[in-house]
Amino acid sequence: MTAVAEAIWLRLHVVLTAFADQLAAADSALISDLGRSANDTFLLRAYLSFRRHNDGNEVAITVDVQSKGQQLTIESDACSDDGKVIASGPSAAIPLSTIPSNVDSAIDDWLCEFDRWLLVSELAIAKAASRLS
Amino acid sequence: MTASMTPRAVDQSGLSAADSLVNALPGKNQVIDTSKFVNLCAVCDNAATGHVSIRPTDMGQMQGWINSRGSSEIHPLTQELMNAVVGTVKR
Repeated sequence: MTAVAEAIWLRLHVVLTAFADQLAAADSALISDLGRSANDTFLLRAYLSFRRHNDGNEVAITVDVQSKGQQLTIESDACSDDGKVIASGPSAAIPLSTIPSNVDSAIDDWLCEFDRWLLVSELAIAKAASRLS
Repeated sequence: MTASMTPRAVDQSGLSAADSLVNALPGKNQVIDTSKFVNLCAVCDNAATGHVSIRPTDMGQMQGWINSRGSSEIHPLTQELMNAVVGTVKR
């Protein structure tokens, strides 16, 4: 299961790095922070956050991956740090009982959907980031 | 995201949280299992609003925690808080 989370992270890292670069190109004062964590509940919590200074508010894109029973669930969104949802991202519930190639294919499908969502949400996220204090 | 789990200079009494979903802010909320806290504690400082402050058990660590916000290294108290998140809910 850790291998699946690692595989998702490696691909997310590429996508989110490119997104951070795009926003930085348009707004050089933005500070971005790309990272991940995991704990007993989450196999992976990937995030790309933006802020203007260390003591300021932030906007973050998050991807949470959990193993729930015989399913791998993926949830994503873009939120401000007061919890306001800027854009709800794609989610997935992938049965783990299927053969590994089916799991890989379902993750591929979700990543493609996530990539498209970033594209259509870029303006809303950039707008929220532009309002950060 | 690590920044939102690290107090700002204005958060001298701790990070703001709520004691239940009913009292939480609209939007996405992190569900925190305070039984996982070791060096943090959750103090209900307003029973009427259900406002809770998450702070170090040793308040002498507070300023160091605040100062770590935005640092490239994750402060141990931020890590402890991140480890205690057991879910998210949208209100």
